[in-house]
Amino acid sequence: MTTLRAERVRKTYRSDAGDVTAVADVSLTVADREFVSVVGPSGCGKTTLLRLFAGLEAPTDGRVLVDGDRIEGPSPERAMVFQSFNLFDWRTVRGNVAFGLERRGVPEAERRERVDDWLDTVGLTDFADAYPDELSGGMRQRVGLARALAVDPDVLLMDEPFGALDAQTRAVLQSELLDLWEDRRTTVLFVTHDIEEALLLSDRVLVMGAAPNAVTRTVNVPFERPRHGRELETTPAFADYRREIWDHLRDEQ
Amino acid sequence: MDHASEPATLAADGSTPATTEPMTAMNERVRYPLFGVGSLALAWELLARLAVDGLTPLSDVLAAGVGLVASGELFVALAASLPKLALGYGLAVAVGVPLGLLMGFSSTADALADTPVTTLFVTSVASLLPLLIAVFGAGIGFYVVVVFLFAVFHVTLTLRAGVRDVDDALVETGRVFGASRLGVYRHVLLPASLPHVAAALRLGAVRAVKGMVVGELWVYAGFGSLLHGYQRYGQTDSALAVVLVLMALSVGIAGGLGALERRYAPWHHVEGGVR
Repeated sequence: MTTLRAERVRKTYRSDAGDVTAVADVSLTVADREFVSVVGPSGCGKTTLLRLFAGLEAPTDGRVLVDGDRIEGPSPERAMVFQSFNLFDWRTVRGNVAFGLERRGVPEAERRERVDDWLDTVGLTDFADAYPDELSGGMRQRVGLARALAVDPDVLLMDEPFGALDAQTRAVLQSELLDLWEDRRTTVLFVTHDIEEALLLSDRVLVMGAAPNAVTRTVNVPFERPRHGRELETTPAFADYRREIWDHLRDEQ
Repeated sequence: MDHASEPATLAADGSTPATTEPMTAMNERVRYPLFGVGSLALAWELLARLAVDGLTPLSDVLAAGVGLVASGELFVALAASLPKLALGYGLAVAVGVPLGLLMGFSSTADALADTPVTTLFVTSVASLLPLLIAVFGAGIGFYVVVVFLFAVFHVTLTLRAGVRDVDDALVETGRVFGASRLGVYRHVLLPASLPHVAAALRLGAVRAVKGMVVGELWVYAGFGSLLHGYQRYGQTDSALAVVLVLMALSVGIAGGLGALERRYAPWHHVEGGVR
């Protein structure tokens, strides 16, 4: 059981030009095993919100909770996948996936087995000994995904994970993520500016607006699982939801 | 082109794994520098033979170099100079690497060390030579200190700049995946800095050779006394041969350090090794 909760969270940064409010009064809950996306325009504070849940930032006001406990700092229980991958260049693919397990002191034999399993799952077995610089963007993000999932996290925090990929690779990775998630069902908070991506993956989509940077609307996504990207995206219902969110976002800007 | 959807196809894509790097790329790494050196050598020879009177032709210099080896003078100079170089450079590395890392990692350490290090960095070491003789005498200590001073600040500041350059996002990623405060240094900042250590060591080595020659020209010894002797008696060919040997020494040390880097920081070379 893992739920995420934000209670009247505000985050401001001090700068020479005065205080900047990155997140203004956001309350939200992500239920256990729920897949929730946050969409919104650039600068609406969606990434900051994710970083608050990651424990990389502390809120200025309000509380950020996991299972009712205040988040004090980063933890592999809340693993993260980053838009710019953030792989460790000096480690091989295997070494990157093993990083979290090493820090946890998982014994070598078990570590190897778990890493190999994940490499197999994301289709990188043949590239286990390659360095990140030798991989394409899609493969790098597969490493990022395997690194996060290898620590068996309670929560997956994903910050526009497919935003740096070309359209075709993005579609492939979206469907792989769908399969993975429908298989395992961890709690996911997923940040994106891509409405279709949010609708395809999520149980619920939170729409954030800019000025004030707050959640202005919640859209429940009722599509049945397992979902299949291309079929789903061509249905009239999908188009209706897309338009609804789109209109709402336009009103926010 | 992106084959991310099909890893099996990617394996066939020659540009991807470093192990299947095309042979032509390997050859270019050797051929281009050879071409550059060859052109320079040819230009030198032609200029000296056809145009510039005072310039000794390269072939004469090389012949003098053979004589230098045959007479054993080169080995006497090497035996005299290399220990000073090794000691001075070793000290510079022993001080510069930890100091550079510390200044890069900690803003407090940087604030404390910045002014003295930068001041000494911009000071001409050559102008300090009379003072250094007064303090350290004219023995081996003098040369070691000169080599040390020539190299240490370059090592320190190159490394500091490199460590500063490590992406903060990697540090955060390390923390997200469970690295402790100390673990972030050990498992993220230190390995991420390793290529910069290699760059600092290379620059330091080249500076150390310069320091050695300057010291030995100030108080004649080793290569310095060779150079001085030949120049004084007008043996330009031999003097230039000594210069070539010194160039080869710098290039050789830098190349050896480069090989070490490829061995211990291979990730930095996977894309053509130009970064």
